Amino acid sequence: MSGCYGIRNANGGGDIEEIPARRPNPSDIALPAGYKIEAVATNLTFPSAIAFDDSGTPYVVESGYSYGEEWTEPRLLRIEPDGRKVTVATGGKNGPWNGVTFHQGSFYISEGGVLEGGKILRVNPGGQITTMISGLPSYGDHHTNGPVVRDGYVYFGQGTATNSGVVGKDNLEFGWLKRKPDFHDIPCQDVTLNGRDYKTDNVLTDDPDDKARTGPYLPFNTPAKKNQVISGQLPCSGAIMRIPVSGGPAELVAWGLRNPYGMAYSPDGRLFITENAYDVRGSRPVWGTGDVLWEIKPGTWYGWPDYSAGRPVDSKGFKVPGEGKPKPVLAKYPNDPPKPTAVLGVHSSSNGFDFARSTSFGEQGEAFIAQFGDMAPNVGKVLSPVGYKIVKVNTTNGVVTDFAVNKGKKNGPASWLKSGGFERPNAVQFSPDGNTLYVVDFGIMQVTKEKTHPVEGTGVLWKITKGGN
Amino acid sequence: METTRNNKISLLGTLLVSLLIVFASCTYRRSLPLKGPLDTQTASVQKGEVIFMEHCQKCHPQGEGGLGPAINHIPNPPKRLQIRLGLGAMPAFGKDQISKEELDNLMAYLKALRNNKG
Repeated sequence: MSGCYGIRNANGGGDIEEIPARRPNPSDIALPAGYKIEAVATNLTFPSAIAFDDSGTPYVVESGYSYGEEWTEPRLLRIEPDGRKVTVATGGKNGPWNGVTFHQGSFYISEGGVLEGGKILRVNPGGQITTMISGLPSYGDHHTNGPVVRDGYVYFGQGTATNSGVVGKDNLEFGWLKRKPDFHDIPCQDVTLNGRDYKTDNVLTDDPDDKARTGPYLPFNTPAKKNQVISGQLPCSGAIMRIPVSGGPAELVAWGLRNPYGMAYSPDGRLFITENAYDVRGSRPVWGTGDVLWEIKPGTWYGWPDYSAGRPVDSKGFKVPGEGKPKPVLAKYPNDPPKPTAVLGVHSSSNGFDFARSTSFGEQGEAFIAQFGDMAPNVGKVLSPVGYKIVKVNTTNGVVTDFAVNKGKKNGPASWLKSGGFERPNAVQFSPDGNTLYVVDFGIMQVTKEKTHPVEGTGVLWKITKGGN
Repeated sequence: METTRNNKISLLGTLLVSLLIVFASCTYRRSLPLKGPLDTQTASVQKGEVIFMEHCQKCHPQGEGGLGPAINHIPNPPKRLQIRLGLGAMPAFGKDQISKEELDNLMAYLKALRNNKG
């Protein structure tokens, strides 16, 4: 019967034949009664995040890089009341700029660092950029994320180099393995391998008979040994780290996270993050893993690369249909991974989020999460588009509820539905007064077996208010 | 025993395929912004919603299609059977994972979700 799943076509939301013009239309988006949405700014290129200065003026970052190996110029833009965009600062060819926050007169930006390594930047209102830390291990699949500033520290997330710990053919397809053939994941503390490694074609040579054996936390074509200890170091992969606002080396907060993307403090002062879970790709594919909302407890290991959402990857439900189930690669674990706050849609790309705080907007304490949407078939098969909306999460009981979705018989991005609604929401942020929820919509990204094609100039900034706000 | 189980799975598969064809022209979307809050918010429905979030939501977000197929249009009896036996890529959920009481609550939630047509 697993063959039934195997023969069904992948049906991701990015699988569109033609790129339509982007015509945002708020009436194509459904919201709970009493709320309204409107487009604030359009024609953005790969917008990824938003922050507000002390006067409440919104600033958007355009990432400057997208999957699909598309480079543009990273920019920090001030959004004027009439929707005009004023450039405050620009970066080099080292995107993606994945996040931004404002603290005591300065912007803090996480620079993904595909070519030069990840960085945390401080930008003053005049546009002058200071690098606070560089050399973060961002050359791979996932990059530097966050940041938030709290209690004198800049907290940021660092994604892993690989899907599940093992460098392979999928990383060549991402584009980085040829650039950085020695790059691999770096544990934050010492880990002991159980000796399992993975045989593949040697994709770095032209000889089709040349084979490679690659172990976890090791460069491509480097086998693992039983009980081999890989030394932990900082900065590391798959972690939450922090640096003092005054500058200094990275300190470890938590680790064992695949791609900790979104980051926010709850109104009662707890740190939460969203984690993009495993894909069905590479030498060690893992199936059926939902993205996760975690509460971060300092010093804790969250399970990557041997657990998903607190469950071992060799337990039932994670086996790729028609293939063998994933096997653990570590001989022992730092701790039992905690229980997730909430588990979100498989391949939903649950990214930036924020907590509701105001009585005017309502839903106080709920986490609002932007879901970028699936990148099937490259991340694995889905039977229907996943994500492309805003959900809210009750962090007490883990209940996930749709909050803003595209109208239509089916769920999907506007380009797939042929409507004027959301494309790929990547971040949400409440205004400083808490009365308005801004939605950063990355724009159109076509994803087919042959290519990943993000479309410049299709990003939109939306805002949602309640009643007469 | 194996033959009996295979027969059950085959029967369940046939039933589900038939239901999919019958309801192919319907929309399975039931979420809050489209249909409003659930009509029934009993304690059983609320407990069932939490169970759904723990075990089902990731593949069937709000009961819609995702990694797996939409389930909002399927009546409860085959769904109950499918949860216990598994089907295709979907694993079985034993009583050690979802107790009988939890399954009853889950069914109450799924029924409320299915009937939430705005």
